[in-house]
Parts: sequence; C-alpha cells; structure tokens
Amino acid sequence: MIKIDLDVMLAMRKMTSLELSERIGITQANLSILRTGKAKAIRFSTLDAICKELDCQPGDIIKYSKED
Amino acid sequence: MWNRKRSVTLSIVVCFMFVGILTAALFLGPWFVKFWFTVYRGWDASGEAMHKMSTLFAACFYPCAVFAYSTLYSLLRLLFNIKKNQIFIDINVKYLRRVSWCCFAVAFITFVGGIFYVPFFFVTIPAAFVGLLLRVVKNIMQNAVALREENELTI
Repeated sequence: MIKIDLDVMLAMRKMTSLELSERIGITQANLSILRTGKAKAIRFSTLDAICKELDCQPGDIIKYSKED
Repeated sequence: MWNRKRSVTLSIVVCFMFVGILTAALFLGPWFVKFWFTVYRGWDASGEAMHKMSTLFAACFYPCAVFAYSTLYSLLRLLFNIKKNQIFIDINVKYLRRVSWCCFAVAFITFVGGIFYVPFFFVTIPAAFVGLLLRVVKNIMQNAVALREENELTI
C-alpha cells in the first residue's frame, strides 16, 4: 500500500500545512485528503510542487508498505 | 433559447403529467374496460365474461400502478437531482436500479396476465426491454460515479 507522509517533512522544514497548501496552490481540504491517505491518486504537477517547496525527493514523502 | 435546464424542467413537467394520467386511470380504468368491451366488442355488460375480464384487468392494472408510481417518484427524484447538478451520485444509481426493477415487475405481472388475455403480452415485452435498457444505463452510471470519485480524490 502506498502512503503519503507529509508530516515528517513538514516538521523538518518547520512549515505548516496551511503554508504548504498556499505555496503549492491547492486548497487546504485537498491537502488534508492527501495527508489523511484518502487520496486515490496524485498528479505529477502536485508532486513536483510539493517536492520543490519541501526541497525533497518523491521517496521522502511517498512510502510503500506491504500490509493493506 | 432551449437549454439543458429547460429540458430537465420539461421532463419534470411530463413526469407530473404522467402522475395525473395514472391517477385518472386508477379511477377511470374499470369504466374504460367496461366501455371498451361492451361498445367495441359487443359483450354483455353484466355477463360472466365481462365480470372475469374486469377482475383480470383490476388484478393486473392495480399492482402495475404501484410500480408505476414508484417509477415516477424515482424519476422525479432523479430529475430534481440532475437539476441541482448532482448527477453522478450513488443515490441516482439507486433510483435507476429501482426503475429498472419496476419495469421487470410490470413485465412479470403482465406476463401472468397474458396467459389469460394475450394482448397483455404487448406490454410485457416493451416493459422487459426498457427494464433491460435501464439496467445497462444504471451500470454505466455506476462506473461514472466511481470515475467521478477517483477524479475528485486525485490531488
């Protein structure tokens, strides 16, 4: 199962979710869907913007685990 | 000019007209059956055959009317949802499924009635066919709902 883990990177960059959502140009509601794992897919453009703002690699925020 | 909203409004008006026609038919049905068989077929109004035919029509028509009301109610709810721009939602799939089953129920009732009065089969086949068509539309709608959900949850 693929999981999005933004909280660790947000804490490392000392950034709030509100600030991130404003910087990458998505609503807080959509960022919340992403953080809570309810999202079914992520666009490359969104992933690109997140990686750019958090200065990280996709692998830093996307995790794979075997259990569902 | 003619647009999508006016088209939906027209469908709603037509549905309400059908509710009126159906309600009128509930009251005028027995009279119409008697009128048809006595005037056009020359049957005796108080004869045994007329009595049997009236009973058969009542036994078929009134259960069908229940399903017809259920269909019209579902169609109206569906149209009001479309008017509110809520098209690809689960509840609309449920309404389409209900309408489809109502068509199959009417087909079954008229099939049984057709054993005793063959012209009922002229209702059975179209009702079953419309039921089948609606079932396909329901399956398409179900997939559209899943696509919409996936699209909405793509960030």
